[in-house]
Amino acid sequence: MIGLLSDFRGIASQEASIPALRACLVLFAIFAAIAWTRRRPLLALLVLSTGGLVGLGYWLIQIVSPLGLGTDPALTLVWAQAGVSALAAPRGSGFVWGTPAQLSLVSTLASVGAPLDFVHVVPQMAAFMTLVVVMLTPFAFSRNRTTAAFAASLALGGGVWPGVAPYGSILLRPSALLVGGGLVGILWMAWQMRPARRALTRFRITAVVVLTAGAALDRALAGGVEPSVAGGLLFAGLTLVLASPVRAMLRVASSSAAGARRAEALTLLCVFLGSGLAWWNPARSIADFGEARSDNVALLRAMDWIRGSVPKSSVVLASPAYSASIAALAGRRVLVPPPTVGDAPRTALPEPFRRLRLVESVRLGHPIERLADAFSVTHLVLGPGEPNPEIGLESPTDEPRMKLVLVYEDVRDFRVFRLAKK
Amino acid sequence: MTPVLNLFGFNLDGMDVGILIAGTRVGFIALTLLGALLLTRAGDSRGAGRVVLAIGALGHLSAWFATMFPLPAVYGTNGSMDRENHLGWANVVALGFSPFRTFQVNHLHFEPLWPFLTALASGFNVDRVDLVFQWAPLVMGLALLFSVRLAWVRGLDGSEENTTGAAFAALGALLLMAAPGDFSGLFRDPWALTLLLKPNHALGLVLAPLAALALARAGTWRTRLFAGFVLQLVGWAFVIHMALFAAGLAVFVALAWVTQRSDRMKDLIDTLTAVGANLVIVSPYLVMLVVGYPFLQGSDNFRLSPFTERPFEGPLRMGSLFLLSAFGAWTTYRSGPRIGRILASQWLAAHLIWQLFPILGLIGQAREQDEAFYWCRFWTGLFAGVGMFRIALLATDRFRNDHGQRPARRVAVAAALSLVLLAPSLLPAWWDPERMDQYFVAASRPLPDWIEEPTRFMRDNTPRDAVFAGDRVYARWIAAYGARRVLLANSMNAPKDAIRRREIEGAILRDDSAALADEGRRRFALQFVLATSNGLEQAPDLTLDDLASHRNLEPVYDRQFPAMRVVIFKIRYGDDPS
Repeated sequence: MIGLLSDFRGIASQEASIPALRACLVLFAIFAAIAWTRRRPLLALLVLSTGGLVGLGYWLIQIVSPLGLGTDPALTLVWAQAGVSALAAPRGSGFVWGTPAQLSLVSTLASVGAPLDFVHVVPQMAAFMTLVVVMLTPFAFSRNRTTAAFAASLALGGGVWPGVAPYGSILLRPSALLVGGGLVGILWMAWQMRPARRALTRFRITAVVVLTAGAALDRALAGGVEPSVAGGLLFAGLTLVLASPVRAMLRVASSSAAGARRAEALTLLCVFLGSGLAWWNPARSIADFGEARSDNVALLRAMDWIRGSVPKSSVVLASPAYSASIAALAGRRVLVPPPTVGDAPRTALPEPFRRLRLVESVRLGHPIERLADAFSVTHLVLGPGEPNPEIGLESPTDEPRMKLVLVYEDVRDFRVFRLAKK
Repeated sequence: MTPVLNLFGFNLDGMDVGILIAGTRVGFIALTLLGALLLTRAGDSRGAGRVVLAIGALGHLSAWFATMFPLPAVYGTNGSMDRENHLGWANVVALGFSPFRTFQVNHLHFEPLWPFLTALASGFNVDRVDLVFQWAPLVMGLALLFSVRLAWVRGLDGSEENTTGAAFAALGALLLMAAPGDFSGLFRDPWALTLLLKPNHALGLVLAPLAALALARAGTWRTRLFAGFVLQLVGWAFVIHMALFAAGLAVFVALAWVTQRSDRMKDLIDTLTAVGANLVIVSPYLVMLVVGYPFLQGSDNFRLSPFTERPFEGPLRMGSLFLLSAFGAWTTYRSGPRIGRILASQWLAAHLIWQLFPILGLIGQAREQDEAFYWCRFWTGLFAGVGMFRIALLATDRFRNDHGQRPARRVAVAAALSLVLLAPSLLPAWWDPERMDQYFVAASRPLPDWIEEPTRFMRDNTPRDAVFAGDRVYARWIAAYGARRVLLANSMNAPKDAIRRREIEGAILRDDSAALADEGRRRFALQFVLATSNGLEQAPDLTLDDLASHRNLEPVYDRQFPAMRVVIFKIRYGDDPS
């Protein structure tokens, strides 16, 4: 199974296979349109949702390392915290020694015991779940199954406005799906109450106008090539609201019921193929996607060694460039925050001078035992090109010092030193 | 440190470009919503079209401003070969040389109108050409808006419905021709690539609706010939648009026969006369095209896979906007007036032609796909605006007052509803050039010193009629930034006498034939050679020191930059005083 997935991944990562994917989606859309004209709305929805899963899956299976780790500042912190929450002890601590844990969907999942490999695919699962939620939501609000199927079919490709499919933004902010799902739940509960349902139906046009304005303003404020999560979900919700009036308009504009069905089928085809999912190319629209396609075997080998050999309660000393990877992939706390954290949190770190003193003493090859114990630092990790500590120098005699013992080294020049008592 | 100024003269140091661009987007949305609110509050529907048109104009202005204001140089420079070619050409025309010749000295070209207009607008002052390039996209966009509206309003009756529909056609043609995901496609954003990068092509779009109007009004020989005259203007602006428009007229006539219209013979005669007159007038141009541009030779560059996604890309990448445009084109055609039928036929023809490309691609003739794509988008956007408005009218028609009559303000209400629903798709609402436009990013960076300094030297220290030989890659920068002509440039198609030019150039570079060198002076007025430490593709064995050792080449500029060394030699001819 893993081999098959790997083969698919190999094919999907080739640029030349993108037209094949799109041809495939066109076929799905054509089959769905035919099913719709033959009065099989649920079959049409099933075919389109399968197409949606194929379209999403093509891209999502290419993600092999945590999306945004090391490239997106916010996501880097999320992944680092998730790794520590899953594997380090104590679980509730921040990934940088002395800082509080940062709350997010993935770190919460990790801290309640979800396997780290599972946690790493949460964004992909959130994107898939978005498609499922978009597909099922209309059925919770409409008794007319044909209208519900029509709404779901319009929304799952990305909605009636081209280029606003929410999948890319959900991939980057998976926690938002919980908020979006919660809002849908609240709306559903309100929908069960007759007065609320009447009010929502009566002010539907006003709601559409207000929500469209809100979604457009949100998109305008956020900018970028993908809509923000709120904007993307708002547009999807608006598509669901508009589905019924669109069907009504198509009935008015058509001379017969069969004509209306054909018009609906054509609408489904065009919207599914034009709204975003069919033309979505995260390799170009998501800056971190290219990085996430690489599994970075060299780094993983070193991180696996740390995960298996360094005690869970240990704190690892590494340069800022490797701090996030150690926390995220090896699941060990670090002493120095990653560079993406920026200056403000760094100055807010407790005991900055003692940290600096320990770092300096390690660099000179004679870690101060008292500080290493205080910070629970047991290992030093160096990446390719980083110079070894100046071990040959004579040890200062002002206070007890430790020595550095090389315990791991690979051909890529990753090295791990243990801080040992002399 | 010298402050970095944009072409408006504002200091760009410390400016937060992201906030500026976001501000224009939010401002446009607020403006659109305000316009919609005004329409719903108005006492009647008069003026609805003007509100929509104003939103279109201000939208184009805001997107243009968001793109141009943060740039220290002309949009598209430092990245787009086409743009640098155009800049170079406009420069040499502004210097007083013929618009029929490119910056490759004596090289005949078939698009003289734009460089001439650019030079004219600059007052034939080469230092003002940058400013003309800066403002031309704004002017062309506004002209497009007003030409579409004019054609629509003059061709149909002046009812509120039609004047508002005309405004939506104009709004759509300008601001719905692109979709947010276009940046990741092969042809990128049609608005930026047409209006900002190639405003000369936008001029073709400006003239096309006017040609349609002229033909719609044709009925006598005089008016038919006038329609042909307007059509040939499209050809002088951009010949591909003329060809595409003529194809649209063929579809117009074909549809008249297919639908058995009573006036189909008139449609045929009017169209044949106009196209014939156009061909007669534009024939010198076509001769220049055939002579100067080998467009009938197939090439692997223009070959497409049989499994290409092109057929879907044209229409379907716009999603629901394509459907709206189909509805708009259909209802416009069915409504009867001739201008509507001509314009709707253009929509159909654009999409039919687009479907031909995979077939042309099989024989290596799928050239100028981008222009056909943008043409397709232009008509799709135009009719998407119309389609949205017509659907909103249909929706408002369903409302009745207490007397069972349609509401008096239904056009204004439909316009307001259309504006709100279209707002998220209108380009100024989502345009983010920092992320979506590689030419914006390229032009944001300073010109490399090894281009900027030598070309400034050329402007300041060489005669206006100087012609440069040597590095053919560097040649386009000589024209674009140094405002001087060259013998041969890799960025342009080769002149007919390219082989002879290479022989002459070789003789000068190797100093081995006084006769050929003399021919170079006589025929091409060659005065300088520019070479870099990257070597010359036509003489890879010659180093800069080799060239300096030649008696016929005297170094007048020699500078080592971190990236490369650039040397400019003055050519000494046998009878020059030593």
